[in-house]
Amino acid sequence: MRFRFSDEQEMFRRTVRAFADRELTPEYLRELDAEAHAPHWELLPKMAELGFTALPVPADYGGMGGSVVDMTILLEEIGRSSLSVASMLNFAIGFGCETVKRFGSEEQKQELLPKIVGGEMCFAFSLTEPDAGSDAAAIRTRAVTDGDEFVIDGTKIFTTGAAEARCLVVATRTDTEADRHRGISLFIVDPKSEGITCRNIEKLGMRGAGGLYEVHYDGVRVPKSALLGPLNGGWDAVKATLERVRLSQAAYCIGCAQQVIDDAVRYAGEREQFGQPIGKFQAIAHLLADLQVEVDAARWLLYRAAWIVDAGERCIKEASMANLACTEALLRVTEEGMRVYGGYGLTMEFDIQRHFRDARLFVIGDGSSQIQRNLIARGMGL
Amino acid sequence: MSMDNDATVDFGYTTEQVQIRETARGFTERVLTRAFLQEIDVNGRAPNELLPEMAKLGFTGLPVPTEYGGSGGNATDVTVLLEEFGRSSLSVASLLNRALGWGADAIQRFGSDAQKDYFLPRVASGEMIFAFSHTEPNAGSDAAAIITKAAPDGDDFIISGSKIFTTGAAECPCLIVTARTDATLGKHKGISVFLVDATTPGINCRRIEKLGMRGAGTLCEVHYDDVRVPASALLGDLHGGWRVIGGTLERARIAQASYCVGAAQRVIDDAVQYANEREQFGQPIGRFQAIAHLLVDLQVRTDAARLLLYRAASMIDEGVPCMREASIANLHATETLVRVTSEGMRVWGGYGFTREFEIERILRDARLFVIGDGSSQIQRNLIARQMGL
Repeated sequence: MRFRFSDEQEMFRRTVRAFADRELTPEYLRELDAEAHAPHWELLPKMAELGFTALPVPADYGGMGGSVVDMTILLEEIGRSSLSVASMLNFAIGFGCETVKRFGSEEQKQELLPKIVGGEMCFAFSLTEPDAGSDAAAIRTRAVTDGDEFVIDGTKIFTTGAAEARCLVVATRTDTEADRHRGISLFIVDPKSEGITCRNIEKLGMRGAGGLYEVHYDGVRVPKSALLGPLNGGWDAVKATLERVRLSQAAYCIGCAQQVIDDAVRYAGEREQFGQPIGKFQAIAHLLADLQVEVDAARWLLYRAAWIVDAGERCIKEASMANLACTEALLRVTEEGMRVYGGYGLTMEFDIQRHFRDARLFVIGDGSSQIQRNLIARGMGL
Repeated sequence: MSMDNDATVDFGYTTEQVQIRETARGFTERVLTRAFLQEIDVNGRAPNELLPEMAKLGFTGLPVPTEYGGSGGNATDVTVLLEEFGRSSLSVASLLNRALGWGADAIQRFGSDAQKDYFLPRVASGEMIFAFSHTEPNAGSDAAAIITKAAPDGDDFIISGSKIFTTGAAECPCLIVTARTDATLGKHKGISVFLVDATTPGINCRRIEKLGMRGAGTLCEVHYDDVRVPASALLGDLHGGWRVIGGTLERARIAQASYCVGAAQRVIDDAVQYANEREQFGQPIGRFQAIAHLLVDLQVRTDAARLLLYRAASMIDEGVPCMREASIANLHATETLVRVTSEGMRVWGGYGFTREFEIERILRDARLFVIGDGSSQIQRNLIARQMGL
């Protein structure tokens, strides 16, 4: 066994760290949050210059062909600075890239993958509907053939970044007769297509990750070539993609959790009460020690899952374990860590409140903790 | 040592490690039957008679260097072995660790050539097991507060004092006794460690009945009344005993975590099997989310504990300091076992409360590990210090 990264990976981590320190300043991140400012098109080109967006793209398409462990390092390190920015990056190189790489036609790969490398492409995943949340296969948005085209009709909710993305991945029902998991198809849709309207939904956290939208598809026409993966075979793509998104999400959650602990340790070493730094009190020290143990534990569950994916093995149970552990660890770290700051933690002058708000997304989105537990239970033979 | 800097993370076992696990599983399934484990628990009996066979299969000699008759395995190998034993019996795993873990490790690192020549081959052949006689009535978590004395007398030392909670003192050939050799030096500076023949006149043991770990060796209060030992019994430097104790603690913490993880996984596996068989309300109880999610949370915790454990072991094998990581592994694994036994027991309903199922024994056993060899509170102190708090 080996619990260390290669020298090359350590060097890459330092490169990412340097970028985040330079570009993702506290002022910039506060502005993203306060203004719900979407950073896509000011950051992706800069990330492309450093090769970040090329990381998971195969060399044949101009990328670097990095491993999932490499991706995890990148997203963990960006997550240390900003959950919003890491999640935005993941919509470019994690979710979108992965789906196109695995399920796209050669033509789609030729078109989209080089754009990902160039920092000119970001996706939004339009899956969830008002009546299809955890029960994701219950979607009712229709796509009907009409000559050489499909016509999409329906309403999606909680599509993050729909208005900022250059590509919507839309999950639709193409066969209403088939078993509910069998009649689903995915389409790559230009958000500027006629018939698409977005309504912005104000949200608690992750305000710098792109807007949260209700998206209406009214007779949206797309060519047959927009089909991503096999007709009626979309559920496999959804499942495979969600598995990877789980690891991405876990990566930035654990990066953020470690940063919150590091900040709290520093504050506890500086802040004096009762004549000594509060970190000298066991009540504070043990609280922080427990959080560190939980974060270390979750982090190795994450890298184990990434390693399994790189080995080409099935990883449903382990990916869900990593996701559950990392997202719940972040939630706990923000809730408990906030105590260290006393009243200051409640002010907008400290960042802990932003992490606290952001963290709430991850125990819900892309498979709630309850759904992760269902998946793990199945993997355990229950 | 794996210092290949081009390699990335790796969570796989070597072929040898898979072999160690399979051999250990073969032994435990054959010898550590439910009836046997129940017998040593009920009678509070240490099954030292297992040591020769464990030696024959290469278990006791695993970490002993080849020149002393062992196979020179590393910390990860030992972790695999102890984890597997922990699956069957925390008592027997801890007994095995009193041979190959604390004692053999301390002697290997701090012993004289004569001590190595004497003890290490005996560890490998299953004739040697140690009892660590350190804790005193007034020196528990404050371990350096011991007052048992060892005074020089010609070529000998004379030990006098009382120890408490010495596991296995009544049935082992060698006691590892810590004593104050210089009361004028600082609290941590005047301590020395001695390898004491358990048959030496002046040693008296009083048995203390205990809740769990009843097959791991008798829990004793040990009185040392002018016990005379030769100077050659000194392990490590005179007054340098704290370094010996500190130097082996990481290994002891990792060993404990190993069998706790093994036991936790066993409880989960048994509970999953039971939940799939037991029907209530017309279906196996494992189909209810209330039971399934309870077991999932325990499995996630146990997987995490195992990774933290092997991280610490791999750092020992790379020669990297791992105080923090060893304490993290110990805290997480021992608390995981407490939680797994306490929560897992619910799955069996009323049956779990009976002696006919094993969960009640493991529940009792588990309580030791959040207390012994550094309580969870002490582990948190150590972790906090390493975090700069």
